[in-house]
Amino acid sequence: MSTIHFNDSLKAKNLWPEKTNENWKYFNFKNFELSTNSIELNAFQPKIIFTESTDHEIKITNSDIFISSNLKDLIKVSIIKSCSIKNSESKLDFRMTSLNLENVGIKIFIQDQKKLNINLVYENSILESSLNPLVVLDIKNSEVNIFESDMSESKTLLCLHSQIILNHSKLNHVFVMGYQNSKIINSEVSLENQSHYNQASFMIKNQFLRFQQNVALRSEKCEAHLASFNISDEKTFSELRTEVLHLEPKSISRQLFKTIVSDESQSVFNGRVFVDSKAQKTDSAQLCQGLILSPRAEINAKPELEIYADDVKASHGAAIGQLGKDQIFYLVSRGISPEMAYKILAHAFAGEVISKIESLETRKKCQNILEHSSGAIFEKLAESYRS
Amino acid sequence: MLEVKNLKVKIDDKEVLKGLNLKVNAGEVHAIMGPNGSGKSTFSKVLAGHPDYKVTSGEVHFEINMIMKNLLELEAYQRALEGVFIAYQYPTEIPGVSNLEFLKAAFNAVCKYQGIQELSDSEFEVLVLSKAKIVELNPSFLYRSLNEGFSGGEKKRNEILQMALLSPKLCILDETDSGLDIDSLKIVSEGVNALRSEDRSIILITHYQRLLDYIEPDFVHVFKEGRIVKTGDKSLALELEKKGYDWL
Repeated sequence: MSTIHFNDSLKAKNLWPEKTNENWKYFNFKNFELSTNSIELNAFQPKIIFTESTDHEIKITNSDIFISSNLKDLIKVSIIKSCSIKNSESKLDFRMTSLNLENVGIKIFIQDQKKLNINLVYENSILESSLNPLVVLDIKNSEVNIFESDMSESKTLLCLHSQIILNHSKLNHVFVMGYQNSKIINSEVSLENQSHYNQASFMIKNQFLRFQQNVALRSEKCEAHLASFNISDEKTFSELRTEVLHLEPKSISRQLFKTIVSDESQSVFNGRVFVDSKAQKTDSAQLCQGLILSPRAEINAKPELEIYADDVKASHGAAIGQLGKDQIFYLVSRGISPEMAYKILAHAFAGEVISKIESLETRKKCQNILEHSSGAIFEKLAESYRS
Repeated sequence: MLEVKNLKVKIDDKEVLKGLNLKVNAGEVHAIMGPNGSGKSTFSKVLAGHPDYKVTSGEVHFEINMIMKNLLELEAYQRALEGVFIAYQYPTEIPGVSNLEFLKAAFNAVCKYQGIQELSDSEFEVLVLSKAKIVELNPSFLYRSLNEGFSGGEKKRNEILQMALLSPKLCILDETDSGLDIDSLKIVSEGVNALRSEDRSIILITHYQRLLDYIEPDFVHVFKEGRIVKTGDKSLALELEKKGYDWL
């Protein structure tokens, strides 16, 4: 397995993005540089191995791709190779970083399936190394539920480029991104032929996270519903960038971004909605809500609308605040500990994102993940409440 | 049950309670009346352990397991677990937190503290529905966000529902009658009366004598400038209704 130093490698190839080439007003990759100082980039040359697992699982690891054999008849999988992007226009854009790497990945083709459930898991078990797969999901005439998660060790880097192509299909996509490692994720979603894309993403205590998703609604009556929840602490940075392109008439998009920051963490939301001159009767709404729990934590939100059609319904907004002391006291005065009170209020805040998930079982799973992963944050907050 | 000795309290460097003395025995109902700004609500919040109020001197002893202990040494949630309950004048709205989930969290916290087995979701729902009947609270309010969009009367009923559920030893009702119409006042008062018992003490903070028509107190105290300036029986409330507070 050959290894190369991440930053140096990109800089040597002149692929490391420059601040002047992108709107980096709130971007801060200082933490990323710190956290990836010792991370080495692994060349990824996987084989597909079918396993006897009863779950519908696709696991992408540093070495190989493991697929449950019961998926064999339901999907088609092939290894794809991609080379670095040589396009001079895009090479300096940070979101292209995941493509600028030497990537190898898989293409998953799904056709004529009803309510197919798939667990897509990334698992990097080698400390201070990177996993940089390319994943293409091509879904036709199907309804699919995907639970995607990164189960890698801390002090690792996931550099993922995913492409999702929906044709007359519905995809319910839950994406859990945690914990304490770095991620550069670029997701390109293309919707055609009245497709629906429902996404609920959870970003939990990532050291450095840059999650860029571009959703193109390419035909009439397509719908995209994006809901995200972020919680971060210590000196971490997480940024969500969305770009929703309404290219044809009568398409619908909804975006909800909720973020909780504590300690000295920073969270950024950059959301852009573009409505083409052809895309009449577009219906689009975008909302960012944030909670700041510590004096030195920071949230920056920049919702944008760019509209070239004249018969359009579009809204955007951002609201940032703090957890009410009165609310904490009300719960505490009923015998609920300060730790639990913070937890209850934070989960109520996240609840709106969880409620967007159709499957009750998946909702519970996400709730458990949040409870399990964010306990330490609430203990610290309770401590400061007491003092 | 409760003994307050020479209690002095400040908020934002302003002294609000200036040497308060009060003794409440088990099973007694005490009414506290007094003009605006006399320190009535401050007293309730100090007992609850609100972090904004600083106790500068004095003692508050509360009976815990037959022994009088200093209440001020306990954190707010520990006081609640030991049986101190405040029905607030303005119950806080908490969007996104279901009323039922909140009630269950509070009930389970008390069960756990007392070493009693927690109830299952369905068992708890049966219990809470039976308690909601006492204050005639429509069950639909259990499934809504805590106090969000509740009318004044519904909020107060929800407070008494919590009181019925948590079975506290000391209940402080802070202007529970404010904002209630006549029918609601009667229902809430009947709910409180149903919870009167020999081992439970109640402190009623009110501006108006009419609440005392429904919940009969054993003692009436008048607060003025952070102290109790007069104590009497129910007739004192009637006298205050006629004369106001200037004569004290």
